Amino acid sequence: MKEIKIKGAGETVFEHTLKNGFRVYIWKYNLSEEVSLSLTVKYGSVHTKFKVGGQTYEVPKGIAHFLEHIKFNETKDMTAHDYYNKLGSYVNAYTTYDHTSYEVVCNENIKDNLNHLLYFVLNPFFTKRLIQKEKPIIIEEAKMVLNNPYNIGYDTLQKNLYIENNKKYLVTGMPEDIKSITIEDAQNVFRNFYHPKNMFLTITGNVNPYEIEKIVDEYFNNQKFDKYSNPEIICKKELNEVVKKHDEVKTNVTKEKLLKSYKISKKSYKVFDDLHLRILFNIIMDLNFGTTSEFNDYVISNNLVDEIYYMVSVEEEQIIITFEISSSYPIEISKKLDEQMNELNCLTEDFERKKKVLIASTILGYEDATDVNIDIRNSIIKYDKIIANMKDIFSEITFKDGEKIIELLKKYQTTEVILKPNSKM
Amino acid sequence: MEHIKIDCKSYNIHTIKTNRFKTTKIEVVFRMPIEKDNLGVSSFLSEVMAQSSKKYPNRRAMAIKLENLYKAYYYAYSNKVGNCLNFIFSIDFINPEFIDDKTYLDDVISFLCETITKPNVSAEEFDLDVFNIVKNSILIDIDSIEENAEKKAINNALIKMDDKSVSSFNVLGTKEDISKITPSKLYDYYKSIMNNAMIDFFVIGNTNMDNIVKLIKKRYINHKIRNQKIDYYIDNKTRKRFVMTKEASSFLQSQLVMIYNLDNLTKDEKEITFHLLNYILGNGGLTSKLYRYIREENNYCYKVASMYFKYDNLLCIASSLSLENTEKAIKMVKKAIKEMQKGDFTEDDIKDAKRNLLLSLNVNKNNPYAILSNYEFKYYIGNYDIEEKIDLIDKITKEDIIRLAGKIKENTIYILSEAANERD
Repeated sequence: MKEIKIKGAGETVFEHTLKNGFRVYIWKYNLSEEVSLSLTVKYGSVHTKFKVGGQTYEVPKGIAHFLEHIKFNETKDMTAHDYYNKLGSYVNAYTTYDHTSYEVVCNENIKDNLNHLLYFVLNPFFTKRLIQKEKPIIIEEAKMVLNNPYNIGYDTLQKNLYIENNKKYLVTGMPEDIKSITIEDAQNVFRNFYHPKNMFLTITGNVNPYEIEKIVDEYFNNQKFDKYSNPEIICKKELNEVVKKHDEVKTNVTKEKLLKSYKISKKSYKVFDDLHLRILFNIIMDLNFGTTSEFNDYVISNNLVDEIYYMVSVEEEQIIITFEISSSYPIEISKKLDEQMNELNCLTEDFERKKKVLIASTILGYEDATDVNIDIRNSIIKYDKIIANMKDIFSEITFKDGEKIIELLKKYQTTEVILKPNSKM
Repeated sequence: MEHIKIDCKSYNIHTIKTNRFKTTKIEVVFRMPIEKDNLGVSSFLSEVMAQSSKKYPNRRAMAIKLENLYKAYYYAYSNKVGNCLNFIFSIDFINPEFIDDKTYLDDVISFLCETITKPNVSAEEFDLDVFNIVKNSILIDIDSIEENAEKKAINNALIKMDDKSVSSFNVLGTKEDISKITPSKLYDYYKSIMNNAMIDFFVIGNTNMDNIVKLIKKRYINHKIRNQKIDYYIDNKTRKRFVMTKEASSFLQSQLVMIYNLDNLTKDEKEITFHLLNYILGNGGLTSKLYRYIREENNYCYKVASMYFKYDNLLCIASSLSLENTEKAIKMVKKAIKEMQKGDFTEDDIKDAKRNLLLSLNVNKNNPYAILSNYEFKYYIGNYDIEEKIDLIDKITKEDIIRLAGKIKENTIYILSEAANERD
């Protein structure tokens, strides 16, 4: 078992790779009262077209999330919820654009909890009746998502932002997608993606890593899996353009909101890897739009904006920066955002202060079993490894790197959605 | 964990020493009985003090200072717990042992105490710029409840239950309350809190507690002795049977809210038994009665919540579903409650609920906020602490749960119907 020493935090993450390609990550924390387990499948809502052995398959949108729901069925009248309820543990799952995770929280019977997590996720039990039964529940879930005005806004924004990327579709799928899902779709996705080689396990809390290793080895020694089909995801490269630059939606908001995305090609940023792009873009955005920035101070103090949030997403082809702003003057604020994006600044003193905060965050990173479990999962999904030297990376980034990010930001495309109150509100 | 209470005459300092966390948390709680007129001004004041002080006069200055304190996380807010209004300042910061800065702890405590004792005031008035920013944001927050179907439905249901009950009051106050507040009235309210509310400092972490106590005593000077009695539990009026209201909305999905009174619960029932009952009834995920009947057997909804409003003596059941299924869902909720009252659940159900409550309590030990909160309520009103609750779980019997279920009384049904349905 490999020991990965986390610099700055004084912690160790254990990595164990089985012959079948299944990986296990363990963080041992004696002081934790809980053990957090997660089994992650590298399959999410965007993976709807794939090729196996020369044959191309297209499955309905929402199938990843649908599969996550029906995976809990173990027999026609027994679910994983029933099992964990008896164990006194908490079980849940979620689906994102690029992965699906099954989670258990417990504080005793680790072996049972772990074995059963592997069992219920890796063994299929699909029937036409159970699939039909789940459809109205998931349709109500999709309606719940769309009942939130912000989600309606984001859904519209994504549709206008992406030309090829399946992120333009809801993770749950729309009701008509959900209705179209068949047992064959579920079996197809399960067969090709729910394979140990395409999955990994993360365990954090008060556990003995060597005992975990033994339990996992024993489990897989007693199971037979088909050869991994190595499905090839088919997706077109996302273009730098947007579908539509401006949109308006009337919905249940009490005040106007602006959602705006900047789509920046990664071509100019080849000198940086994705990790550095994430760190540096976040610092630059924080310096220019965060609570310590002059821009934020100006728009809030002058009552032009009530709240301003942003997020940075580094994707295959582009960097996407999305703003969510509550304002009575969305058009004017949209222009001001453009002005600021064209005049981004970075002062040495401020840059160093942000660095200091990031370095301190590496000490605090390893404190809570559930949080660390999520961080490990995200790191594997994004980088396919644990980043052990984050403290060094933060220490080594320079003010000049920040300046470079700004200097290279020559061109971008934007799309915006203005949410307007319904006349009934 | 070592708990120590230090009586500083006009306030107390409580320290909980634990090596479990890499951060230290200090919470300063000002407590007073709720008056409807004070809710708006209290939330207003807490937001102003979250964003500014004399030394750091705006949000930006404060944010920069907090980053210089290694991203210490400071916030102020007011909340209502039953009949009690809490006015809270809180700061989370990295344990000083990790920082190569000898004055770090003093800097953090000075920041916190100065923010409380030296607000952004000139000539007996709060600074107008911050005042206007906060006024605007609170008015938006009050309006924003209209954007969230579930919150709006629960809020409306409580108002339909009894609009004079403290349970139905919005902690942010009303738009009318907010519009009446001026910078000088805000300062009057600030003085009133500082002079009359009961004050406690709670500290949890792995820091040198003697040092922290010494620094708080040095930085927070207050000589006014105060003692108020607060009856935390709200005595909500009961009804013989449900009163039902249906209102129209422009949301895509309907909301069903059912409110029940909980009549004369004992301490053990409030602290332990109700959690077990609620787990079997609806809070225990897909295996609970409500999930089984409404979601799993009939597919009417994705989510149904069964919420225990402890200090309001209320049980609130809420679900998002299609309007055509609301009547059927109501019947299922009534059926589930009746089954709890008749003892139509098994010893195994109780065992499962006990194991799951045990897990929740143990997980709470990982959360400094939960540890503090448990400690605070033990100190305020004699609630059990986490360990005492764990010891008591096993003693609860099926008869205890049936007896408690008999105290669940019908009160209000509220339906916020989806678009295209008119008010009944």
